[in-house]
Amino acid sequence: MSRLRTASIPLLIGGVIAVIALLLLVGGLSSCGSSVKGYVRDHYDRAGTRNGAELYRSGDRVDEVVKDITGAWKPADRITDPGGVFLRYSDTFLAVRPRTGGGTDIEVDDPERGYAHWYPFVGGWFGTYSGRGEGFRGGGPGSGK
Amino acid sequence: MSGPSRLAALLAVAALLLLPGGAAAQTATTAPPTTTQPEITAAQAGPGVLLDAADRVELAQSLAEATEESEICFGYVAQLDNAGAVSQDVVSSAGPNVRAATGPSCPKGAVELQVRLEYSCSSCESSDEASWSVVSNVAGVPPSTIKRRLEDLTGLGGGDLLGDKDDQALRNAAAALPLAVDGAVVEPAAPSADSAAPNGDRLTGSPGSDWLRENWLRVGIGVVLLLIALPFLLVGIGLLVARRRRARRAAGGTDPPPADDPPSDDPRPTSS
Repeated sequence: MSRLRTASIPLLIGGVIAVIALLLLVGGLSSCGSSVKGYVRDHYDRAGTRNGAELYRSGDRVDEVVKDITGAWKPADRITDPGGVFLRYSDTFLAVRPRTGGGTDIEVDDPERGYAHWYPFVGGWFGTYSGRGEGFRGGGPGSGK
Repeated sequence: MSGPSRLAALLAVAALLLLPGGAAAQTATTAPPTTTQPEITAAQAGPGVLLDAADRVELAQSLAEATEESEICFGYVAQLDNAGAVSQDVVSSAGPNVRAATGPSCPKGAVELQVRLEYSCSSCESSDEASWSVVSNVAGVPPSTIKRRLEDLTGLGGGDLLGDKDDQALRNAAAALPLAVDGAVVEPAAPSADSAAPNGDRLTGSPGSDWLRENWLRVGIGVVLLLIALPFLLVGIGLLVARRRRARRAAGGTDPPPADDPPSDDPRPTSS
C-alpha cells in the first residue's frame, strides 16, 4: 500500500501540473489564426470603407472601445491625440476616433497605408518623420531610445 | 452658485495650482493663460524632463486646439527627482512652461496630469519610481473617472514612465486628456487621402507577432509547467512499473529476469 502511494504521489503531482499546462496551452493556441482585424469585424458594426480602409462604428466612448480592443489584442505601439487613438499591430493599423455627436469610428487599415493616412499624428512615433524638418524621430516598436 | 459649491470650486482651483514639488519648481510659471494659441518656438520652449522641445510645442498646440473647442484647459506637470536634483516640466494648452489653469480662455475649468518621477542614484539600493494623478475642476467628471479613462486610452502604468518610451507614455497621457473629459467635443482627427507618407517616410521597427504578444506569457508558463511535470510523470510511471514487476515476481509470475540480473541461478549448462 505504501509503495502504491510512493508511486502515486509523483504521478498525481505531475498529472495536475500537466493538466494546468495543457489548459494554458490550449487556451493560447485556440486564438491562433485569429487577429485584431477579425475581432473588430466580429464586435463592431461595419459602416463601409474610406480611402481603402474598412470603417466600423460603435455607440460607446473612445476610451471604452480602446479598452475593449486592446484588452483583446495588445497593440505593438500606440499614439493618442486629442482627436483619436492610433494602434499599430503586425499587419493592421487601427484609428479609433470620437464621432461628432457621440460614439466612435474605428478605421481598420494596413500598416503602411494607415501610416500615410494618419502621418500628421503618428509620424515620427511609428516611423520616420520629416514633416517638421528635423529628420528622424522615434523608431517604432522594438527600438529603444 | 451656492456657498458650498463655490467653496468646492475654489478648493479645486487651489489644488490645481498647487505644485507637486512646492519650492523645488524650477522652470514653471503659474500665470493664468491669456491665449490658447502658444506662439513659441521649440528653441524658446526648451526640453522637458522627458519630452524634447519640439514635442512639447507640438503637444501644447494639440491641447490648445482642444481647448478652443471645449473651453477646458489641459496640461501636465512632470516633476523629476534625479537623485536629489529636482526639476519640473510643464506643458499646457496655454503653451510650454505654463500651467493649465482657469482663466478667461478656459471658462469650463482645467484638467492637469501630474507626474512624479524619482530616479535613484546608480549606487543606491532603491529603484526608480513613477506615479501619476489627475487634478480637475471641470464640473460633472470626477478626477478619478478621468484617470480611469486615461488608463483605458493609453494603457499607462507607472512602469511606462520609467521605460524606454517614457517620453511617448507622457505625451500619450497628456494628449488623451481631452478624450477623457465629457463634453470636451474634440474635432475628430481627419485622415489624409495619400496612400504613401511624404518624403519617403515610412514605418520602422518590427511589431512582431500579435498572437505571441498576446499569448507569450500563457504559452510560456504552459511550456515551463509541462517541463516541470515531465520528470514527475516519468518517476511516477517508473515506480509503478517497478512495483508491478516486483508484484508479479513475488507471485511466481512469468516475468523474465531483468537483463542486468546476475545469471547465477540459470539452469542451463555452460559450454566451456
